[in-house]
Amino acid sequence: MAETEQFPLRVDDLRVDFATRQGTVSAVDGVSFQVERGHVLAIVGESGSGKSVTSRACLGLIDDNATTRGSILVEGQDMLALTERERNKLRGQRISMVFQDALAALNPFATVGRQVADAYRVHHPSANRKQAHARAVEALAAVGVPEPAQRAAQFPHEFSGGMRQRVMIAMAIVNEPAVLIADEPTTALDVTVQAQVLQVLDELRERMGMAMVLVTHDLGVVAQIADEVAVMYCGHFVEKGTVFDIFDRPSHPYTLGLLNSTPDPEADGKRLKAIPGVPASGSSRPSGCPFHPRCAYQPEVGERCLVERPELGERPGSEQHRAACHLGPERKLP
Amino acid sequence: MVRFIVRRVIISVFVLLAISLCVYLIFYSSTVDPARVICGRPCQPERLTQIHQLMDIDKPAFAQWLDFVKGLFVGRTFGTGPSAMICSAPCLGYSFDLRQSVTSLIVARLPITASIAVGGAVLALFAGMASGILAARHRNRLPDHLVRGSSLVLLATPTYLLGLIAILVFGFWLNMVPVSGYVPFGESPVEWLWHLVLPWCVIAALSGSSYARYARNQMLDELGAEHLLALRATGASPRTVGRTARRGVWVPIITLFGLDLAGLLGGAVFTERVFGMHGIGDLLIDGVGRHDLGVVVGTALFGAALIIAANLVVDIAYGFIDPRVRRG
Amino acid sequence: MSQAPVSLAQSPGDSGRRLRGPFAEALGQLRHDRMGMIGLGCVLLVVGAGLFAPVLAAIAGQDPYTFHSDLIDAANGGQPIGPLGGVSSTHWFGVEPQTGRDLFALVVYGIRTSVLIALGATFLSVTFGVLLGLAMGYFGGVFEYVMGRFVDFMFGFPSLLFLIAIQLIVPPEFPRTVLLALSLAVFGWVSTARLIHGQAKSLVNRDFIEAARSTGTPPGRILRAEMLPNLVGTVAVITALSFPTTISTAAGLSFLGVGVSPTTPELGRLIGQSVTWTYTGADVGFLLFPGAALLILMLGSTLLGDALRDAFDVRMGER
Repeated sequence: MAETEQFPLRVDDLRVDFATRQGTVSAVDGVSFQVERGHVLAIVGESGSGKSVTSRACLGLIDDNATTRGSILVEGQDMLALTERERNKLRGQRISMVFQDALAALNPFATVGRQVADAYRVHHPSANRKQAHARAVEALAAVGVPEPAQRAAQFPHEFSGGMRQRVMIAMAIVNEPAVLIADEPTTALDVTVQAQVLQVLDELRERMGMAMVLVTHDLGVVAQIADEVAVMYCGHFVEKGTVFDIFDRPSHPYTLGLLNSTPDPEADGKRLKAIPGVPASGSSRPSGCPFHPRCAYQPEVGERCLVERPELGERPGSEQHRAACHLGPERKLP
Repeated sequence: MVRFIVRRVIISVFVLLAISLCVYLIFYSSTVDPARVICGRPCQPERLTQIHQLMDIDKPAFAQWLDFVKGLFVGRTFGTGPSAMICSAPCLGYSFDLRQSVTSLIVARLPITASIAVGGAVLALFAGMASGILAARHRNRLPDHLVRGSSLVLLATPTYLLGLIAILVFGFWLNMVPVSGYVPFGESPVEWLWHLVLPWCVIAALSGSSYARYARNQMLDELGAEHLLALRATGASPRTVGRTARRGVWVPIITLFGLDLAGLLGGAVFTERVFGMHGIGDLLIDGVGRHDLGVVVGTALFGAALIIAANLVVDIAYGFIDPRVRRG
Repeated sequence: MSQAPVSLAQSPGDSGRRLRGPFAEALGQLRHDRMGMIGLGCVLLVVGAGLFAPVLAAIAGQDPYTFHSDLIDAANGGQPIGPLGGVSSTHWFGVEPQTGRDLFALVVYGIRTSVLIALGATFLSVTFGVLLGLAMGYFGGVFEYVMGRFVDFMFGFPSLLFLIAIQLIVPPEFPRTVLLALSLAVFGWVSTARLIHGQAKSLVNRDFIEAARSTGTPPGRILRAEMLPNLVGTVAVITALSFPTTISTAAGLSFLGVGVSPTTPELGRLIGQSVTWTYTGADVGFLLFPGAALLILMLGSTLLGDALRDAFDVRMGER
């Protein structure tokens, strides 16, 4: 029991396959992670790497045309083994989600107060309208919406992008969940607003002791808020570790590529390098290591990269540091 | 919101006046002389002039249009003395052939057309919505194929053809319903209903198909929309999710319905002819047959007014339903 | 400066490739669309029957004008003698009630009239709609705004009522088939203009049009050489999809008795005359033969239009 309390979210060997006309496409291929209470795990990757599918799978929100295997334990209960009815009890109550595009994710026809209150009432059927509304105003205040009582009566389109995202967050935390999944929560926002929204998320995590999964492609965001990082490529985790492991001693060529293509305020005048090639997607997966066609170190290893997929192996750094690369733990990347 | 409504109403009135002006300029400047029809044959020139004066068509089209607009608000009187023909406001014109105002002709026939159109449209709406949502729920399975296949065939079938086939099958071969005619509701509600069942079903099958198609696609869009995913993420029950999705379908469907209802006056022309009912559509066709310009112009303008009124209602309704329209 | 002639020289070839590439690909896809091919078959069958009406009638040994009073029962209101409205080896579809004219000849000649009217109307309305939509998208500004309002206005217009009304004010000397095609075109261009306008507008902002503009290519040339080839697919789909609607309306007007003159054989007019015979069930063939011809034509062209739309991947209307 202590284990589930310390790690409210545990994902084991998650696999998601989509059935398409061209055959089965594997979007997530054997992903495992756990998030500690009050910690932030960032899942980083390019679009199409499977990070959004992973985050949706955590709430059991995957389309009918997909098969999901493995286990997703939310406070000890396996999302994938539960009935839809039981899943609905957990969703929004113990595990919540913040979506990227709040304008699309909020119902345009209902006031924001109504939407937050509805999210509360789903799990508190005994609460009357008034109580739910009061709770919604509280939640709006908690995410830093000024004059929450007045603004609760407004519609989503009357809010700025940053404020809308705060409403989205209020909807997610109104029931004080143990796990919060944030899928690119700041991608659609201006840089200055991004920082504010991240700060709101960080404060809430600290106050409520939530375990948070932050899905993003932005390493700047990761550096600001994450405790642990998992780098995802083509449905696999290719490297994971603490934020220091990843930034100070990247051990996978892909992670290195991501770091080199992100502006670093301290390294003035250094040229940004793009990763050559295009990301491989589930339907056109290369043999062996999925990254090998774009990898600068592949010639160093040779044939092996083309035939054998590397497993996650220990790397120097913290004891959680792992990377899936044939280069091995001794080889230090520049 | 009040400003929004007022603006819409003013625009609508202007559009209506513009249409009626165009219609007058075109119809009353044409080479066809409506007086000749009344005059009969042989027609003495003096009598023709007399009739011209009586009909108020001895002036330019624009002046006639002014008379028409005046008649709309205060009514008109044609001729003098005991034989004067009074067309009280709102005067949509006068049929010198039938010696009745067009307004009273339309009012007399409105119940027939309204019975056909409203009943058919309501039935079409519910049948179409239900089958469209059913198809979306069972996407790419049997119900979906059935709904899509039948709506494809029905959408390609002209109203009059389907109506006649329905008469042949249900009225004649199976002898289930009367083949034609209309019985006023006040006379016998049962007979009224009995005579209307077939036309309603024909309209429901035809315009219901387009509702079904639309509702299906809209429902699929809704089910895939991010705000529904977000709603599911809050743990809302499938019932709540379904209800929210259906609400997203109803909003655009209702606007379609409003326009369809007004447009059914056009469709009624066919339904009335097929089922032998003497409604407004029949009035128009009959007017063309008798070369009765007053009736034809009046009926067509009435149809235009209906469409514009429906547009207005739909716009305003949208303003109430969708908060984004009001302010934007 | 030195680059200008290069890009000019390249642009026609470029647009030429654009035209051939997707077009051929779409046609290739169309060939594998079973429903579309069935539709094409139906259309070819019926339209072919219409175009070769005189030949077919001659093969049947009939014409649509000769009265056969011996084949109708004058005592019974002119009802044809024999099964299904007098079907026999000489009169394949039976004869017309009251006159005894050969129904097969009437139907094939009727198809001919209906198809010609609809083709004329579709051609006129699509041409006008494409030109207006292109101009609106290309020139923009006040012209676009005013025409846009006008198109919106026409979209909700009760066109059928006015199509009927118009028949009254045109002198009887004017040929009715031409009048029908013209008046259908007058109300038929609206959706074409609207659709083309939207597509032209998005094209105008694309780089290759900007490039052509910046090199000083005259507007007429840009419209013709750069924009039109990119709209060919849409135009084909619009044409295919508006054809059945036009046929239905054209036949509908004649059905109501306000279309072609009573002596012209036309599908809608035949169906219109069959109404009273259908009520009594006295002459079922009089409804079924022309009705089947119209239905096959409508269904076929709808299937073909849908297949074309899928092949060219054109999204029609707002949804």
